[in-house]
Amino acid sequence: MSTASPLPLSTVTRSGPGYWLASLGSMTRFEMGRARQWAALMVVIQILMGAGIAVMYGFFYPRVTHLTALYLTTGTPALALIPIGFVLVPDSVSQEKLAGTFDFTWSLPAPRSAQAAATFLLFTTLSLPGAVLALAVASWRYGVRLDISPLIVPGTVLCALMAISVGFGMALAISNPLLINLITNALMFVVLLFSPIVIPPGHFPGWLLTADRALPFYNMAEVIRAGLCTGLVTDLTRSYLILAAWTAAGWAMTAWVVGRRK
Amino acid sequence: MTISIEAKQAGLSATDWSFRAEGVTKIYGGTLRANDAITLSVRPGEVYGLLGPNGAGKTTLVKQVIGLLKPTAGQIRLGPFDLVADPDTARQLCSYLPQAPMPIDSFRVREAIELTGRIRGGGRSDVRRRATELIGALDIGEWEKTMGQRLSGGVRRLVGFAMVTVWPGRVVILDEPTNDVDPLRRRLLWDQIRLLAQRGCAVFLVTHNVMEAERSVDRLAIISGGRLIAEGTPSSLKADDRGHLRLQVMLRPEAATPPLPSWVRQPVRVGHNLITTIDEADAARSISWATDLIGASVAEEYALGATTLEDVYIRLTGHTSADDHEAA
Amino acid sequence: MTELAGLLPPVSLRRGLSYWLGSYRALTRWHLAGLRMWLMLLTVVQVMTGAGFVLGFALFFDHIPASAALFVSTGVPVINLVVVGLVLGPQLVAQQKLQQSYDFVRALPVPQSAAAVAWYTVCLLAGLPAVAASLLIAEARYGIAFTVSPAIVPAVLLTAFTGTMLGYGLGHAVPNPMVTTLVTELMIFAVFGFAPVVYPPWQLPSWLATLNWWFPFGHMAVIVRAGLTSGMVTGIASSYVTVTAWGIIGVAVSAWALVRRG
Repeated sequence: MSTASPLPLSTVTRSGPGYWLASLGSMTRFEMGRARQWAALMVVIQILMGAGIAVMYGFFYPRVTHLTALYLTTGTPALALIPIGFVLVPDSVSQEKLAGTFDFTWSLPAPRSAQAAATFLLFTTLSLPGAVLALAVASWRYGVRLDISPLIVPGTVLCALMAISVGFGMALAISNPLLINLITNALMFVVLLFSPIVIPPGHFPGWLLTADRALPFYNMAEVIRAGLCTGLVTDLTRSYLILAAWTAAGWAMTAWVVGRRK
Repeated sequence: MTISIEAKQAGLSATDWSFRAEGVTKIYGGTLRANDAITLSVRPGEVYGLLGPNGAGKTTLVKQVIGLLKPTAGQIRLGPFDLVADPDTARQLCSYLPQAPMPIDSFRVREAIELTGRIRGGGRSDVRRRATELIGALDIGEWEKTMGQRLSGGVRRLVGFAMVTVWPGRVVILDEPTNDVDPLRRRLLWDQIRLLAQRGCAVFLVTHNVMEAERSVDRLAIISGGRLIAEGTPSSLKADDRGHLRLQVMLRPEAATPPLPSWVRQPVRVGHNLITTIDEADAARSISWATDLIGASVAEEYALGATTLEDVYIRLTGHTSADDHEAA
Repeated sequence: MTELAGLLPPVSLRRGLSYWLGSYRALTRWHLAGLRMWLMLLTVVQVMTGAGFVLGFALFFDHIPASAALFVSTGVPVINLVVVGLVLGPQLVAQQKLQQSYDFVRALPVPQSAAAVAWYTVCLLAGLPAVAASLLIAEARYGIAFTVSPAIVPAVLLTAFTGTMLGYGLGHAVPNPMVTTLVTELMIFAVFGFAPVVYPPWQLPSWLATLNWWFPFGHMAVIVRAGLTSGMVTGIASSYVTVTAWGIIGVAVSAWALVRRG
């Protein structure tokens, strides 16, 4: 006859803002443990993609003018944040789905919104140092003096959050990993060549520019650029609004996918 | 075995195509002995089983035969050829079905079989005929034109078997061929394996499923911890158990192993099961001993029956074949 | 009871030219069938890297100088020829290793040289249409008239050969599939941006230009350019030597990797 003490069975259901915050805390800690394997890779990718590409593009020009250098440098943080949200996050979701750990995480007793918030917060925070580092490398390479204003803070945070939210929502909505791979690769390519992130928008034909204004990428670059120099960015409010809209879309997609039960 | 004699008499092949492994040893990193001086021989027309728990070294051994690994020491010969010295020849003379799933995602079933046959040197019409024969014999005609990635695990396995035996080598190595295959088609698979042997191939069958092995192989070797610990026909391996019965006592989960009476032989505890052999003459007192254990709430039930190859296996390796629990 | 003579296992070993040719043909068919799944991704990648790059490059400039247009138009074909063997090939092998299906292919009775040439054939076939498309699009967009000479044939064959063999060696020699993937991703960068393929070498900082002199990619651009234009490039002979040398290195590494046993 067993003499072990009775197990504490949970009979109380928790709710309310205290529960939400507590869940946020514990889920963040949970995600932090798993993020350890990503942390180093993230920084590497950001430096490669951010600074690496900005430096690389410099070689395309027979002569790098000051304006060119300025655009290249101020576009670097956007270049660093885009692959995090649109390649790394979808990839990791894909892998987790394949490995089966995804279902486990989402079966934990925490409100869905707290879980999503934990993921977003964590990735956003982790992606910022890399973006800063990439910017430092680019500005050193091109020797450009930057005019940093406080706008840089909300700008960068919003960009990171948007990229991660949209990437996450997209990865959840598309279940086929091969398709996700195809889309992320195609996205990266389109972004790097056909978006005025590090190139003045004047070079672009009107129809392409219209399309790019609706997509988040160009707006990311504008928002960050406004915090790094003056006089280059027009219609900043519009860019902020579009980014906010994309972020909301990402959250909506996430909420819809994790909320439904098949 | 009469078949090979007939073949010799018919003068179809004067060469002795026996397979011989002598002292095959594979050591990793200076200390891990994946294979330890394994010696065995297989005649053409024989189905030879390699039985053993996971990690015993069976796959390591066959990989050395097909030239994917090189032995640290020892010889592997097929007829007049030295397979260790000449891995290209090894690949030509041997067919290999690995344990892992086949890379046929973007191939159609018939296509994969015929292409492999062509790669192995078969002529176009011969390969086509043979593929038709195999698809029919394994009853997978329903999927003949299906893409690999759409197949279930069991059908994929059958296709893999067909790929490897459409134009078989002198030695056919099958690593767990019946994994995931449904019971009906499993029987068809065994029929084909037997046919291969009748046609003169020496078939290596790597498996951890003792029951199947007992029914289908001519001879078998039990490998454990890298060493060959027993070899022979199923009956010769059970010979020691002639006149014996198998007593299995299912103990209660928390119960410690009870003190064993003197007539109980070679007790092995696997999980909650206590498996022993007894003389037929001791049947009656074994039953009363087991019943007493139940009465004392030490055991839940008992079973008494004929010995099987599984018992030999358990006795020699300390594992059951169904699961991989360690012997107590 | 089956006829014994019906299908007896081979009594003699296959040797010689007919064995080699038979294996080559069968394996080429095997690779072509096996690439079916990848065909869509492959086409997309080739179109994007070809046409996309040719067209997108102009956006970097207000008005693209004629020389820049010429350099990118004659450089993009190199990427088309090399991307399948150098990038996709190792990824395929890495995937096989991950799925553990690598053993079956290695155990097939084919001479290793026939296997390599079969793979080269398939990579060449995958690259040629993209090269043609890129050149046509460049002609249409930039109004370039190429001076095609017979030198284009050895240039194309050799470039594809070296790219394929280097990828072959990389895929088979590196045991860890994750490392392979990482190296191939890095190589995309190397070929696209940090080697003088789509732009002339004097646009690179001198130390990088010197470094590239030792690697094959810039030289591939030289020999292909020599077959498409006249008077534009010099040092063609030494470029041929370098590309050939790297091809031989690729073959040597592959041979070593495939013949060795664990």
